[in-house]
Formats: sequence, structure tokens, C-alpha cells
Amino acid sequence: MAEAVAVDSWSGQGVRLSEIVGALADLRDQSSRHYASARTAVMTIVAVAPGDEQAYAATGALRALAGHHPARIVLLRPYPDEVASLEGRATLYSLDTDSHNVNFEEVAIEVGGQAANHLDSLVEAFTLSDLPVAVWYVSSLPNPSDPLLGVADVVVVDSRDASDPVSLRGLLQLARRRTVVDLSWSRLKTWRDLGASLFEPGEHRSWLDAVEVVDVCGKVGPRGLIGGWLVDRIGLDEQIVAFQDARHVSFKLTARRGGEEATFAVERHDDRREVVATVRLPGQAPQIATAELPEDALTSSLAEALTRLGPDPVWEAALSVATSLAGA
Amino acid sequence: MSGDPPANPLAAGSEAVRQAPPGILVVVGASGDLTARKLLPAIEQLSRRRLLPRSFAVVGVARTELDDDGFRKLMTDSVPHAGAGWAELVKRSRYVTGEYGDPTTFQTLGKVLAEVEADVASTGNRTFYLATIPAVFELVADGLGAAGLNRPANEQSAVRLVIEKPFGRDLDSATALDTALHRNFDESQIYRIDHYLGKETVQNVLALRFANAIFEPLWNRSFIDHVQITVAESLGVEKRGGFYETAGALRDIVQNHVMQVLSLTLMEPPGTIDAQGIRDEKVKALRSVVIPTLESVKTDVVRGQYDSGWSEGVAVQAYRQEPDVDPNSRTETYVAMKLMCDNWRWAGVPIYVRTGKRLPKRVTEVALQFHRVPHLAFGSAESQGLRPNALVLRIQPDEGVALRFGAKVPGQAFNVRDVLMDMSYGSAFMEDAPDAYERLLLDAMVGDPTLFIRSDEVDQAWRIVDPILEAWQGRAVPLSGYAAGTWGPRQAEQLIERDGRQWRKP
Repeated sequence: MAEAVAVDSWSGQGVRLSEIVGALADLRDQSSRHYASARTAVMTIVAVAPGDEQAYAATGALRALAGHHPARIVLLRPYPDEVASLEGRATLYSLDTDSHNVNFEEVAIEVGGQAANHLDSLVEAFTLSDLPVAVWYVSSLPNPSDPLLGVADVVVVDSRDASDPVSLRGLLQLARRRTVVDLSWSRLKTWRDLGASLFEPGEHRSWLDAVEVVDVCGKVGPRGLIGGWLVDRIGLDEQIVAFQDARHVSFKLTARRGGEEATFAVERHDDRREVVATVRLPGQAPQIATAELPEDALTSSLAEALTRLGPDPVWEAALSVATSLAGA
Repeated sequence: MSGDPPANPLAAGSEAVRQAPPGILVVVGASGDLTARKLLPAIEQLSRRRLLPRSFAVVGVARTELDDDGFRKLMTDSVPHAGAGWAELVKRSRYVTGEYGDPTTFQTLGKVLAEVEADVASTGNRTFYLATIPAVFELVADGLGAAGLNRPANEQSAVRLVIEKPFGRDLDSATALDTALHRNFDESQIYRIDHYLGKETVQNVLALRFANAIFEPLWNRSFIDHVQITVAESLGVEKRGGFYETAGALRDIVQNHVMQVLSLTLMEPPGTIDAQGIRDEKVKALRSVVIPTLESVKTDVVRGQYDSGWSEGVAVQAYRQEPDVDPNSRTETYVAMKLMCDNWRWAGVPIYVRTGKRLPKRVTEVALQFHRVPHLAFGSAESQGLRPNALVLRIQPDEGVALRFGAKVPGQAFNVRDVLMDMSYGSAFMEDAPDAYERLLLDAMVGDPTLFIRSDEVDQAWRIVDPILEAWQGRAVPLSGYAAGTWGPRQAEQLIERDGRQWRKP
């Protein structure tokens, strides 16, 4: 897909918020006279990304997302420890999809000083009326007392950013108060779908009662989710789950009965953008299925995560068990 | 030669024929803020659009000591990027200094008007615009009457009096003001301005409802669950603390702007879209609104006052810390209320109103929320977040009309999501809409009272608001605080949640 192209822009340093709002309104007004599809947004996405690298990745993903979920993007870069200041940029982008042209607006705000702790007071002026507001915490999990959460219809997080069991517990508490979508969970959909497909033949499911060992590899958050998901859905004893740190997620269920062993594994190899599922049943040749991973993983997981904006009870249950498995 | 001149055969089909007739616009309170900020720029725009004739002039009257040249400088300074014709108009303008209680002020005005009319060959049309504080409306009207300036000089000309809100502080004072004005002016001469009615989008409520076959059949209790009217300001009282202390949100916004928008939303179709037809129906609609009782105010009305907080990224002080505000003030900066309308069309449909200062964004809208579908065939997971349809009339900013409905999210699954069909005036029509004052000034000079408020409308609006003011005086209704930058006090949430509904996120 083509990249979004900036067609008009405004920026200012040391400005008041009303100036950014006014500039956006002017851009919107002027642009709508030239671009018929300027009002195609289906939501407002607010991304909180203090670092350059995160902001770059987030905006790239969000701009590409316009092909799936055209949205007004509000990028917030808070610097509470710096001097009070406000910088703003409003840009109109155009994205040429295969079938049509989509236009969307992006507002980037850098805020220094105390106001950086009150981002909610900056955001509402830019939210689109009557459409959902998704607040995405890029590269960190939100502080549960962050007032910005009050603006969100849905909070977008990535449990890969949970570096320890305590942060998983915090995420669970947040999920009990707000609708949370987890990019890790979206990314793991390929693993989950392949994992479910391993037990699609009825005779394979008979092994579920005999699972004795579950090995899960990956980073703290994703591996915890997969482990929690397996334990919750299959009804396993938490004690049989073993975690190991790894770059990519993989899991293997080992089942034994009557002296025979069956394994059900889903894994991704380091050098390939595909996930492989393998079933090894006694006396049978291995059965293998593969699924390709998307090139633009972040955009794809965002698109997947934002397709349903309600609570996901399966994820919540997986997260709940994950915190228990992590000893949080 | 006698009688009216023949119609201009070349003007047929031209919009420009709706031009102000030859005449003088007299601005009383000409040195004030309203004149500089709103009236003079609006007059300049009318001039620029060639809607003012050559036989037109402005005469300023005020207590401030100025001469003609001083007023002309004020006119020039008020419109820094004026069009070519403005300087010519400024040159024709005059100024009268004087106290409003002094008869000689108006006698002098009479002489100046006669001179200007002779200079510009005006036919005697005079429009008196009272851009003063309301306390001197009566004094000015009496002064004009005593000087004989309240009556037209001949049968072909007209004299009109334009006054700004507030029209009284309650029903009694509004009635007293009317009585005072009617001593010297007929009701047909009085043009009460609520600038909201000059906004294109407010007028578009009429177009949307009565020029389309698809909306009006749905515009009733059979299809509409409830109505929400929001008038939100992100600013505080700024430098108007002294004024606001005497007004409050109920008087400043609800009694006039909200009631006008409400009446246009609820009214029955008029027989004709003219002044009498529309205003008759607006009054009928207001008469159908159930008058609150002292008891119902306790449950159906919430008043609030902003505390300190964060607004638009800035730490802001509480209302009681604003300049010219009593540190113990009980003036409300926020009102939320539930109204009901007892008539065939709206019986049982609640109308939720909220207005306030220091709310998260500046927005004015009317939203009609439709009933839920009787049976949602989709699974709860697939349709979570799907809300009932809503038709939203956005009055400011980003004026337009939006219809919210559910649509399938592209993909293999059958997820349904809210989307918005959004019509923006800015992009639908290339021409900039006239400013509200520009529109209303021209209407007043042309003699079209459609967008001005009749005295019975004012009275009926006060009848709805008066019991609330009365209940508040008794302190039976608490004044709730809310943090600046939020959508109001928690009690306002409870007001609507009690009915199983929620405030919109405008």
C-alpha cells in the first residue's frame, strides 16, 4: 500500500491550544474544498509517545492504518520535567488505497511542564464528535490514575511492555475498569488460531485431558498471555506451565497417556515471517500447518485490535491467569 | 407624480435585491465593546457585499466624549482590513455625545439625523440599535419618544428599535421592560436580538425539518427517544465576572439561546416560512414545555460552579477567584436540566439541556437520539459499542449535520460499529456564511422580524425559567462544584443516568 502523503500542514511553537484548534479547523475547511473524502474518519486515535523512536513508529503505523480505520490522529508527546511549553503541528494527509483516496488529519502536540500531567485537558478539543476515542499508550503501560484515561472509550496497550508481574497486575486492574485492547493479544491471534486448529479434529481433543507439560517461550507479557489462555481455556493446572525467555512466542503442549506421548506446538522461527503449528501423535507422521505473518505487524495488530471496541472476556481471563502464573 | 416607484425590472432574480433600503442606522452605545467588536464589522461586511445603499449612514450616540472625527476613527480602527467602500461610509457618519437621561441628547440627535438624511438623500428610515447595558433601555426608548424620534416621518418610512438580550431578569422585569418600550414603540417596531438566531445553522433547523421529506416523519415521540441540547464553552468568564455575577448560566444562556434552539426543534410545521408563521409556532412549542415546579427543580435541574482545574493545557482558577467575582459567589456557571413537553408530538420524550463554562470544548449542538432497534439480531460481541441512531445539528464550531448509524466493519467477521454521515457547511457550500450580526442587522433594516424574538416568546421562556430561579433562591437546590475542564458536576451525570441514558460526547 502507498504511504500517506502530507498535503497541507501548519505548525507553531509556544502556542496556545486554541491556535492549534483554529489551525486544524482552517486546514479542514480548506482541504474539504479540494478533497471530497476528508470526512471519512471513524474514530479519534490518541497516541501517547514521548520518545522520538516510539512517536515515529506510532505515527507510521497510524497513517498506514487509514486504509482500514481512517481516524483523526492526535499524537501527544509529554515532557513533564521540562519547562512549560506547547508546540503543535496540524497536518492533512492523503492516502491512496487500491480502490479510493482517504484523507485524514494528524495533530502532534509536544507539551512541557505540569500540563504534561493533564493531557486530558489538551485532547478533548480534538476528539471527533460522536465517534469512539481510542487512547494508545505507545511503549508503556498507563498509570491507572492518568486522567487521560477518562477521555478514552477504549485504551490500547501492548502487554509486551509489561516488564514484570506487577505491571501485568496493573493492566488487569485497568481492564476491570475500562475497555482495554491489547496489541500483543492481536498479534498473538495467529498463534491462537493455529493453536485452536491443532485440536480441530475431534480425536485430537481427547489428548487435552492428558496434558502434563506446557512450555511457553517469549517476553513476559505475551508468554504470560499465552500461558494464561491455555490454562484458562483447557482447564489446566497452573503448576505444569513453564516459561522461558525468548525473542518470539512459542508454546508446546505435551500430553501422555498409556505410555504414549503427543505434542502440540506452535512456534515462530527467528528468520521467517511465518508461524508453524505441528502435531505429533504416536505412530503418525507429523502434521504441519503454517500461517504467514503480516509485513506491517504494528499496523495489522492495530487494525485487528480496533475492529472490536468492546471488552474481550477471553483476553481478560487469560490476563487474569497470567498474573497468577507470574506470581503477581 | 405619486405612489410607489415601479419595481426595478433589472433586479428580478438577483439576490442583491434584498438590500437595505435608504436609511440611517443609529447605534446607541456607539463607543462600547459590542459596537467595535460586532456591529461595525457587520456593517462593513454588508457594505462589502453591496447590501447597503448609497443613501445610508451610521450615527453613533454615547456618553463618551467624541466628535464626528473621533467616531470615524473608531469606525476605521474597528475594521482594520476594510473593503473599498468602508472609507466612504465612514466619511458620512456622525456622532452625538450625551447622557441618555438628558432630553437634549435626543433633540440633538434629531437635528443630526435630519442633516444626515438630507446629506445622503435618505427617505426617513431609521433603525435605532441599543448597544447599551439593559439598564438604560427604558431611558433611551423614553428619550427617543420624547424627541419624537419613535415615529416615522412619513408613511413610506419606518422606525425600528433593536435591543440586545437580556430581556429582563425574570418574567416580572421582562414584562415591565415591554411595558416601558411599548409606551413609545409598537411591538411591530421592536426587534429583540438573540444572535444565535442569526447563525446559519440555527436557521438550518427549519430547512432540515421542513424542506426534507425524510426527517419530519421521524421527528416525534414514535421514533425519538430523547433530545440533548449542549451549549458548552471552554472559556471561563474572562473579564465579564461583574456581569456574570448578575446573570449566571441560566439567564445568560438557557433563557434565551437554549429556548430559541429548543423552540425551533420542537415546533410544528408553520403554514408559511414567514415571521408570523414561525414565531406563532415557536411560542406554541414553548407553551407546551412543562413548567418546572419547586419540587421538580430539586430532581430535574442541576446547577454547578467551576472550581480550579486544567483547561486546554493551562491551569485555571476557580470561578470564585476570577476578577470581579464574589469569593463566596453562588452564581451558577453550569446548568443541566431535564424538560418535558406536553403535546401530541413530544409527550414522554425528555429534553436534556446542559450548558456551562470551562467545559472541555466549545460546542453547541442539538442531538435527537432515536429509539433502539426493537431487536438486535447481531451477537452482543459483534455489536458492542453500537449506539442508537442520532441526528446531530451542530451549531458551532464546524457547523453541519451528522447522522450516526451502524455499519459493518470490513472483514470476515460481522462486526457492527457506529459511523457518522457528516455534512459540513464549510465544505458543502463554498461561500462563507454571513456573520450572525450581519444577517440580523440587515433583517432589521429591511424590516423582516422572522429571526427576532417576539415579546410573547420572551415571556414564555421566562415562565419556564422563573420557577428554577425561585427554587435556587431558597437554597433547596445545592450548588455543585466541578473541576474546570470537565463535563460538569457528577450530579449532572446522575440526572440523565437515572433515566438509563448518558450525555453525549459532543
